[in-house]
Amino acid sequence: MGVSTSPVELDEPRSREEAEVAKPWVTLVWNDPVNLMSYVRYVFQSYFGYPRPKAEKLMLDVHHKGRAAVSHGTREEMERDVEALHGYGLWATLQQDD
Amino acid sequence: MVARGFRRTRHGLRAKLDDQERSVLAHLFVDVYELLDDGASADPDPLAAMIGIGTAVDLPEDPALARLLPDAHADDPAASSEFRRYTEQGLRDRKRQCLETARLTLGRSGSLLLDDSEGQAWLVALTDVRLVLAERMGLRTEDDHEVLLRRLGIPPDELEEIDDAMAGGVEPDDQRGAGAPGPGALLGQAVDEAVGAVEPEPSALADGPSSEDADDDVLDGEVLDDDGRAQLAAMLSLYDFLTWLQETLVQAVCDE
Repeated sequence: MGVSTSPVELDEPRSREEAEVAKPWVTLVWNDPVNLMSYVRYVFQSYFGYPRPKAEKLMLDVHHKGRAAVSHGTREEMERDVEALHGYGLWATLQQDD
Repeated sequence: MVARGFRRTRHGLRAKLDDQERSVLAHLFVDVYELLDDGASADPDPLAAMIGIGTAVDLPEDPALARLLPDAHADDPAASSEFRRYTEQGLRDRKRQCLETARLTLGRSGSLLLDDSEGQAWLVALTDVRLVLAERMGLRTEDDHEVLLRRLGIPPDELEEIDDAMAGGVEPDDQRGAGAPGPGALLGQAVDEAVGAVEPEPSALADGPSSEDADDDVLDGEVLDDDGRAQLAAMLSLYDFLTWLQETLVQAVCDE
């Protein structure tokens, strides 16, 4: 690829691998029989600021699939999310994204 | 008096709870508060205590406490330990704070009226109490609730009546109130015994090798004595009441 000095190209990572390495972690929320679906949806809206349709979809994924990836980012960011979710009584873990 | 679940009003989040319901809730909030209190303020290293770094590295032995303070890494005990060391103290503190806030609001005269931040505290407090009760009863999968009802010999139509009575409390219409028993009427004196069971006792569904046997007692066909059945039934009824109450609160909080 030729060298370019345009601002748009300078902002982009030079390779897909570089982009992925920068944010390789994910937060998972696990299903449990105690937490209300309405409460889980509320937490996703309240803590993450997700719009209701997205919060609803993630909540249903947790409920039907047993778990769902609710956020992606650096390890530190995911640690903050997991800690916050535990504060709400949800069961969350972090791991490296596949 | 018929309990009325939370609704959003001009003045805040309002619910009607009778004295017995308030008393039971207060007991539960205190019990779970004490469960979360590990006396860590007595940490020998005052600087660590100030920053919030604790000495806890392992998942709590009490399974109910473990559910409130779970591992952060599913397959990496060392990483989980590290995470726990830095976060458990803060989590315990914040959860205790919510339980204490909720407990204090119960002392208000008249109907219970909460502002938004108290509503948030109640959501966390109710969640934690329900998690503890569920763990004590051995509710771990979606089916366990129904299995438990069957084992306690609560017939399906009685379950529907209980559900209807509880669901009836969600309607804002005052006219509904006259005939239907509120959840409070279902609790009775046995609730006091159930509350005591929230604390881990050697013979209860708590820590150590006995917990597996106790789970068998609850769900796998072993015979419960009369006292055991009564206590479990009261606990389940209490748990269902709290579930209903939390559902009304979530709805009220989301009603802008």
